[in-house]
Amino acid sequence: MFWKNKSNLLLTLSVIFAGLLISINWFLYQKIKSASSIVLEAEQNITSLEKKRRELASAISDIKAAENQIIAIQNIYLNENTFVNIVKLLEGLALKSGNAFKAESASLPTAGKEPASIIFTVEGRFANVYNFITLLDNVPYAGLINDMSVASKADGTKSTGILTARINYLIFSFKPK
Amino acid sequence: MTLLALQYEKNIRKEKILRLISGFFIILNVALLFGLVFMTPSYFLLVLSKGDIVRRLDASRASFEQKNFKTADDDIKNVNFLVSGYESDQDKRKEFAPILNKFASVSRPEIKISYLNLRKTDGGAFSLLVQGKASLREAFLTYLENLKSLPETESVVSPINNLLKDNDLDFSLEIKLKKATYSYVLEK
Repeated sequence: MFWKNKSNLLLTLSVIFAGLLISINWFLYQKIKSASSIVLEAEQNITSLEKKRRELASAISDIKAAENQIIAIQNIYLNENTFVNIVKLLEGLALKSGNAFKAESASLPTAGKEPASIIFTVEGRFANVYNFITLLDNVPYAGLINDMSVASKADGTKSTGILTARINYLIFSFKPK
Repeated sequence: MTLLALQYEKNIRKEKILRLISGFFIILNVALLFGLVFMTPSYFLLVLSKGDIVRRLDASRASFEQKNFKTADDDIKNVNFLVSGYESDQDKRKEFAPILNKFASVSRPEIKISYLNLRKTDGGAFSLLVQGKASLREAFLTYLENLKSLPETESVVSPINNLLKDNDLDFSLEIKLKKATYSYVLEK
């Protein structure tokens, strides 16, 4: 009786067909969503790889272009084998500024970021000692006078006008081997 | 006013409602069919492009690995470490000659300095111990004021013993330097 009525049949078929279509659409939507997320992720990865590749290539070319500066910076750092370079440099500065030079002792760190230090004396007139300190301030190695005592060199009770400066110089540009 | 019997009137209303609901479902089905028609090509398009994009990704990864970018990454890190260390070390350096020049420039002919000592104090700041002889007390006091007025000076400690004599007085004073002028901090 129910199925003989055309309206009932049409309604039932419409409902069944709608249910079927909703299921197919939902299934397709999920598939599209999943595929689209995979594609999106892959595209993001490609973009990020490309960006990283470009950045690295640019950084490599920058490093190559700055090779001389990098070598110069590396050479500024002293170690146990090259520490004598600063002693020679100080001797040269003392000679240039008209002072007598005598290295007394040196302390080299074995590890960590502790600075190295060298204790030395320079002898000369005030202007010569001052010139030496000016030259010392401008050495390529990063350093600083940590302790300095300046006294006039006496010849008996008579002042000679010669000063003795005992300097403890810290060197930050030191990397233990 | 209707001429139909009550029973037929009910049947006709029921039939109308059934047809209305059926109409709604038919429209819904048409809309769903449209959705299906539009979604199907985009699904196949995505499925086809997915394989292509995944292949491109694999190719990019392989190219990235081949070009030894990993070692380049280490090289860059080493250079950055070297440069930052260099900058940090250079920041620590301080010049002492300009400070010495400033203190010498405020001296007077009546003042004879016999001993200077630059040393680091407990607080990390530096101080300059100055010993000498002044021919006149007034000259020494002027020298003291000049020292105090220098921008590099934090304070000047001058014991009262320095002022006991009117002339030919031996003095000893300590000039504390400002931290910004001359100091350093070691990295731990």
